Order: sequence, then C-alpha cells, then structure tokens
Amino acid sequence: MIALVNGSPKKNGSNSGVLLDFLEKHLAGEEILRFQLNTWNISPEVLDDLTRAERIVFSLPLYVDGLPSHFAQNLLALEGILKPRMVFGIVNCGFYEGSQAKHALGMLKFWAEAQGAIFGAGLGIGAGGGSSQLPEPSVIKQLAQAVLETHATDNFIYYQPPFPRWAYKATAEMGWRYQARQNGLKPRDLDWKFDPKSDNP
Amino acid sequence: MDLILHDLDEQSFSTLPWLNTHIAFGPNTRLHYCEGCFDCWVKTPGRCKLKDEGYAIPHKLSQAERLIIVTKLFHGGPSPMVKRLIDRCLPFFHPYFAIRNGEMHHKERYPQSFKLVFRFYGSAGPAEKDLALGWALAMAVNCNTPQPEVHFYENVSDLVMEVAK
Repeated sequence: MIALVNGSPKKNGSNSGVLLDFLEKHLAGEEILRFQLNTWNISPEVLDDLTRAERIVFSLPLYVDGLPSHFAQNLLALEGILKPRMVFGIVNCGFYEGSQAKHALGMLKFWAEAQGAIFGAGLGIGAGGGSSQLPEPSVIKQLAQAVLETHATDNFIYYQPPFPRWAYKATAEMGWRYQARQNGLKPRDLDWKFDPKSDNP
Repeated sequence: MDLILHDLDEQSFSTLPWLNTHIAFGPNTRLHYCEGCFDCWVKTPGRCKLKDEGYAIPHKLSQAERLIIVTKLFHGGPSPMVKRLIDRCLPFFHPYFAIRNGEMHHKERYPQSFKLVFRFYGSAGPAEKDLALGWALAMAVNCNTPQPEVHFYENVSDLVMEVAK
C-alpha cells in the first residue's frame, strides 16, 4: 500500500493536497490511502493504517526554511513505529525557487533513514503557493515513476515554474493586496509595525 | 535585549548566565503551532490571530539585538518545540518579497536587524551538522541578518559549560 500523507496544517484547500492530487492520478492501479496530518494528534485508526504502508509520500509546505512544527512533532511521534520500505517527499515553497526546500527535504531524508527506510526522491516545488491555480508541475510525473518502480534517485529534484520570477512576485503581491482589501484593509495597512509605546503585546 | 527561543529544561536554563538581559520562550511557553492562515499578513498585519503565549514573540523579535536559538538537533534541524516558537515569528515578516542572494525572500517589516546565534546540542554525524548549518545560514538570509554564529555541542552539559565560560 502507498500512503499519501498531507502534512499541511490547513484543514482545507492546502497546496500540499493539490500536489498529492496530481501525483495520485499517475498511480492508477496501486492501493492508495490518503492521510491528513494537519494537527499534532494522530488517531489510533490513522496510525494503524499508516503502519501498513510500504511506501509513504509526505507532502508539506516549507515553513521558515524547514518542516512545519506540527509536522516535525508528528515525525517525532512516529519514530520507531512506522516501518516503510521507502519514503518520498514533496515540499512546496511560497518562494519562486524550488531549491529553497533543500533543508526541509534533507531533514525528511534523515528521518526516513533513521526509520530504516530508503529515501526515494524529494521534490522542491517553487511557487508552490499557487499550486491550485497552476498546471501540474512537470516533475510530479518523475516522482510518480520513482514511487511506482520503487527506485531511488540520488538528488533532490527542484522545480521552477515556467514563467519569470518577476511575474510570480508581482502576481503574488497583487494577491496579498486583494486579500487585504477583502478584509477591509488598505494596501498600506500591510506595513503595520509593533510599537512598544502604544501596543501592549 | 536578547530573545532566546529554546527547548532546555528549567534547571539547565537557570544555570546559564543569561538572566536579566533576555526574554526567553521555551518548553513552559503555552502556544499553538502556526497554521499558515496568513491572517498575520492580510487580516491583522504583524499580529497573530492566536492570542496565546506565542503572540508576543514577533514583537519581541522586532526589538531584539540578538535572536538566540538553543535547540536539540532533530534530523539536521531544530527540535519540534523550538520550531514551533520559530514558526510563530511569521508576523515579523512582510508578505511582499525581496530578492537576496539571488533568491526570493520576504521583505522586512521592521528596519532594525538583529544578530542570529544558533546553539545546537545532541550527538550527530557530520552530514547532519552540515544540514543544520545550512539551515541556520538560510534562516539568516531569510531574516536579512548578518552571518550567524553557529555552535554545536555533544550534549546539554557541554553547552551549559561552554556558555558559562
């Protein structure tokens, strides 16, 4: 059985989930179970199912250059319990460069190897914050192949979207302003600063 | 002022000569993990929606001269406890982007810059330490701070002894 584990803390609409949807389409014919580890409590039922997984694909967002803390907490709780043969990782970055996922992928690889698993492949997805509005990253198919053929690639695979960085930057910033306006704010409100004299933290 | 984010037990922490000059958040801090809702960027900019003991961390960081991260190594990264404290710094950053070191990062919300100090403890091989060092350097670029100080110790007692010197 192949476990596809969404490690985003978001309950709904996570980019990590969208990337797993893309991946799942390429894994037809395999027994697939989907999991969501969006809190730091793992139910006994989920744990039961996860321990049966022979291959696990974790999909998670990059948080401050590393693993989201609730996800790291879950990895700690799962130490010595999960015995997958292979572990794969997808880390999506809010930044343009997929290579910024390298440290998070490295941590996941060390964890996998400490569990006696082979780390199959790691994808760093640039502009991952837009996954739900963007076409499937070309590297997803590569990952699917590694999962299906249970072979390990030597290096992490980094994906940059097929449009220039300035365009991503401009679009993402426009998106923040749009969301701010939806919340009744003006663009300059985004610059708010803590003032120790007037704000009581 | 030093801001210390750590995972030391009370006894180890109290033996360190940091008292009076710092604000510390550690295992006694009751805080939820960052859920990536981005309210701190687009709804209540600079402020977290979670009004727990982690709420003040980004505000303290905006006034800090040094951010000192003391953490047990967890597979080449920070411990889940310390990462929870670090992730709650998100309101410190501005949602807009800036290009630094040829990479996209977040624009600064605050003009002042702090120095970063990392003190990792726990036994680990060279590859794991390399990864932790890489993560520390990446964090410094992300925070737009100068070259960080990075130290490794075999265990907590070595750390306590070295810092107390």
